[in-house]
Formats: sequence, structure tokens, C-alpha cells
Amino acid sequence: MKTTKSDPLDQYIQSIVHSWSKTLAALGVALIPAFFILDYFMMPPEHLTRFAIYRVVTTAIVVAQYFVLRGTRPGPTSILHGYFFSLVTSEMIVLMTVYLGGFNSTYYAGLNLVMIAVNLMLPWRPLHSAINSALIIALYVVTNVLHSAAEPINALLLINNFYFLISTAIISVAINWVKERLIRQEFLSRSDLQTARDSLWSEMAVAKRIQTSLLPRVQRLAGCRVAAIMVPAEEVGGDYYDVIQNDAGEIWISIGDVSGHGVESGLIMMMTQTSIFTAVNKSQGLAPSMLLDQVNSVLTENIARLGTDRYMTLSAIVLRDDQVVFAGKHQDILIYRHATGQVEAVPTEGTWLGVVESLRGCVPDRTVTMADDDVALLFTDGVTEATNRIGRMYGEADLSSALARNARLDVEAIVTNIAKEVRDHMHTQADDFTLLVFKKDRQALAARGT
Amino acid sequence: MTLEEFNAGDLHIALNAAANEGLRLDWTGRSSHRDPARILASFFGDALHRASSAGVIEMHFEKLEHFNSSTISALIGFVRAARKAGVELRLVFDPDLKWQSLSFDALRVFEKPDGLFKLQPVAVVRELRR
Repeated sequence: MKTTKSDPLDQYIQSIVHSWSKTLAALGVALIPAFFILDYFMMPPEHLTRFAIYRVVTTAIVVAQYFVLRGTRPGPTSILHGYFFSLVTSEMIVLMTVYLGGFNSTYYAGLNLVMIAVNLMLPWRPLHSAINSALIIALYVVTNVLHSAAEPINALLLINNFYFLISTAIISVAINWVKERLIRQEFLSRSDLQTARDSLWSEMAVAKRIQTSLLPRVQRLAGCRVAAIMVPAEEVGGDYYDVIQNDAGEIWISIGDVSGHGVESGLIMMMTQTSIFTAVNKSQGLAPSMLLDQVNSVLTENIARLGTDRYMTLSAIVLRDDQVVFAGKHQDILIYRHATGQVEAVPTEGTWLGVVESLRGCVPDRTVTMADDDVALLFTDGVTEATNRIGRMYGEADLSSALARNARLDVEAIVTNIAKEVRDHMHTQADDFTLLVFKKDRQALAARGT
Repeated sequence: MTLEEFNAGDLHIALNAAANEGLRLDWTGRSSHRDPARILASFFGDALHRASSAGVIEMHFEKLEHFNSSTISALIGFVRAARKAGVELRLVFDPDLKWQSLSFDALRVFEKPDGLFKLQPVAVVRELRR
């Protein structure tokens, strides 16, 4: 586990070392010249020009380093920027100490600042903190030994300086060790979360695909032309429709919507699809209300087992010769009357599925006539509740108008055109929307001899 | 007198105590929360507790702009809880609003001879109180 995640972790650390090295360089560009103010007040005037040159040169090098960092990508060599910055700034301080009395100078304190800034700013490993601190101290010792040999060394001062430098190094390494552990832990937790999220999203995508693949799009059945579209919102939803012709030639059309969203709603929709498919293929001459009662028994039981509070609006329709028989509370059924050019809204009655244990007596069967070239439109609330930029819903009146304008087209064109109108109206899609259009196909009926 | 208010996003419910009429909850705004049952649980529980002495809760939806299907699920849960507690629940709605008539008509299944649940069109309620 640790081995497989070490590469991404290294890459992550390299990226933040690279990024924070830029911050470190910017800090250097601001502070290195700023400390000349201290030089001005504390140092002998004869050294000021020299120190100013040191600071200008060091600042220029750090500025160049900043642009190199900006122009390059993170990689295994990114940590070298930390070492480079430390050595350049430390060398400047050490050279100043040389002119201020070598080991006797208190200006060595600047090395503590460099050690703290670099080791605490960069999230590199504690080993790098230790090596970096050792290099700074070694630079201090070697440079002063080489250039300050003539100066008598105050042993107590030297011990004092080393005491502080080594203590700062130890503190830097310790803090870096803790910080590195935290970064590693945070990275692994985030990595686990990403894995879990990716897994969940792929499961959601599968659920959504299963759900949409269960829905037929265009059907040319014996006696009926049907076209439908379900436009899902981002997550799994509960819209459902189906068109089934059983062995006896009965054509069943159903449409519904499970309350809420998510996998749970999608599962209930799939249960409904299976229950309806089984019931209409098992029994012939079933009244829509009886079908709904059977499906309701299954759903109510399963919803209780799931411990959820979902319900489902559902209308079931069976096509007869000149009529459609329907039951179940859902949206109105819009019927375009070819003879008058008007759209009639046929209300649905009763209650929803999953609300009460038995629907007997609660959901009446209703009959409505359908003449030649009449067009029926079924829809879910995602259509009428599609909201535009200023919050106005599409509504049933707009939908009726759209049906009237398109009713003389082929069923597929009707669905396509109305779906486009709804999409054009809506600002953002908050819910699935479904449109289903059917026309009786008298020629096919006659050919079939019914 | 408004006893308490529930606010979540665009949904506002004011809980009022009307003399001799039990509790009155006025719904306004829009209820589009993903899980209204969870956010309403405490408010509903409190209302039910207060109503146990008055015996009646009247919820007014006629000024509500819209609620989503999950809110109806929460409402159905409240209808069942009120019945279990023996509290009379009246839902007042505007049947002229299509979405309200679609939603509330489906709840008529809860109207039983015990009279603990009533659906009342707002025009009827106003007429009765004239």
C-alpha cells in the first residue's frame, strides 16, 4: 500500500517544494535588502558599501532563482532550490561576519533565520533539513577559519554561537519531521477519499446507465406509434416510462416519477419497471387500476424494507380500439384533438404508489376516446417545472401550446421539438424530464385485423 | 402571535398560535431542499408536541410558491405522525394552482372517517371564517 502510493506522494511533495520555493525566494527578495537598514545603524560605516554590494548581488541571484522556479516544472531536483537559497544567503551573512570579527561577530544570528526560513518553509524530508543545517554551519566554520585566522577567537562566544546554531538545526529537523508526517498523512487520506469518490461516481454512472437503458425511445407497435425521451439531470433520478406490448397484443404505456433523487429513487424506478413488465405479461385483460394495485404492493413492501420515505407518481394506460383506459395519479394527460386543433388536459385521479398499503378503491379507472390522428402527450414534472433564468416555470400551458404547434408531425419529431423548447426555456436542469407521445396507428391495426 | 419561525434556504414556515384553533403553520417561499425530512424533523416534532394539548394543527400552503417531491415525502411522514399522535391535521391549499392541486389531491387517501386529516381549499376556509 505504502509502496504503491510513494510515487504520487513524492510527486506531490516535489510540487509543493517547488511552489513554496518561489515563496521562499520572494521572501528573500524582500528581506535581504530590508536588512540593510539594520546594517546602516549597527555596522561600522567603512563596511556599508561592501555590505550593500553583498546584498545587491545576493538579491539579484535570488531574483534569478525566482524566475528559474517560475519557468521550470516541479521535479526531483526541486529540492536543490532549497539548498541553493540557503547557501547563497548564508554565504552573504558569513562573509559579513568575516569583516565583523569572524566567530566573535553576533551577525551569525542571521544564519538561524535562514535555517528556520528554509527548513520550515519547505516541506522536504527531515534528512534534507539536517543536511541543509549542517551545510550552513559548515559554511560558517570553514569560511571564518579560512578568513579570520588572524583574529583571536573568544572560546565562550564560539560555544555560544554553536549552541544556538545547533539548537536551531535540531528544532528545524524536529519540526520538519512532524510536518512531513502530517503532509504524508494528509496526502494518503486525500488519496483514499479520491479513490472512494471515484468508485462511488463510477457506481452512480452504472446505475444511471442501467436506468436509462431500460427506457425505450421509439416504438412502432402494431396499432400504435410511440416516441419518448427522458433527459436525465446530473445524478440518478426517478423518472420512468415504458411501452409494452404483451403476447395478447395489448399495448401498455406507463409513466411516473419517484420522489427525490439518487440511487434509491433509481432503484425504486427499476423495481417499478420490472413489476409492470411482469404483471402485464402474466395477465391479460388487466384493468390499469389492478395493475397499479399489484405494483403498489411490491413497492410499498420494498420501500418499507429499504426504510425510506419515497413514493411514486404513476399512470398506467392500456390502449383499446377507440379509447385509452388509464388509472393512477400523475400529471395531466394532454390530448391534441385533430378534429378541432385544440389540446385537452385530462386530469389523472387517485393517489401515488408507496403511500398506502392497498390502492383498491383509491385509484379509479378512467376512459377517454382517441380518434384518428389525435395525439396524446405524457410528461413528468421536470418538464412543467423547468425554470428559466428569471424563475418562471415552463408550465402546462406552454406545453399544450407546444403540442398544438407540433401535433401534425411524426411522433418522434413532436418529442424532439418539444424537448428542444423545454431545454431552450430552462436555465439549469434540476430534475429529469420525460416526454412521451403516442398516436393510434389505424392502418397497422386494420392490417393486423383487430 | 408568531411563536417560532423555520427558515431553510427559500423556505419559511411561521408557527402561530391562534386562539381556540390550535397551531397554525404558514408556509411561504419555495421548498427545494434535497432532504427536507431531515431539516424539518425537529420543527415538525416541536409543532406536534405543542399541538398535543391544542389537538389541531392547520398548515397553510396557499402562499407557497413551490415544493419538490421530497417535501411531499416529509409531509406524508408528518401526516402519519400526526395521526399516530391523535392530532387533527388540516392542510389548506389553493386548488387553482396546478402544482398544488396535483400534490394535495393525491393526499385525499389519508382522509378517514375519524376526521383526523382534512384537505381544505383555501376559498372554502375563507368562506367558513367569514
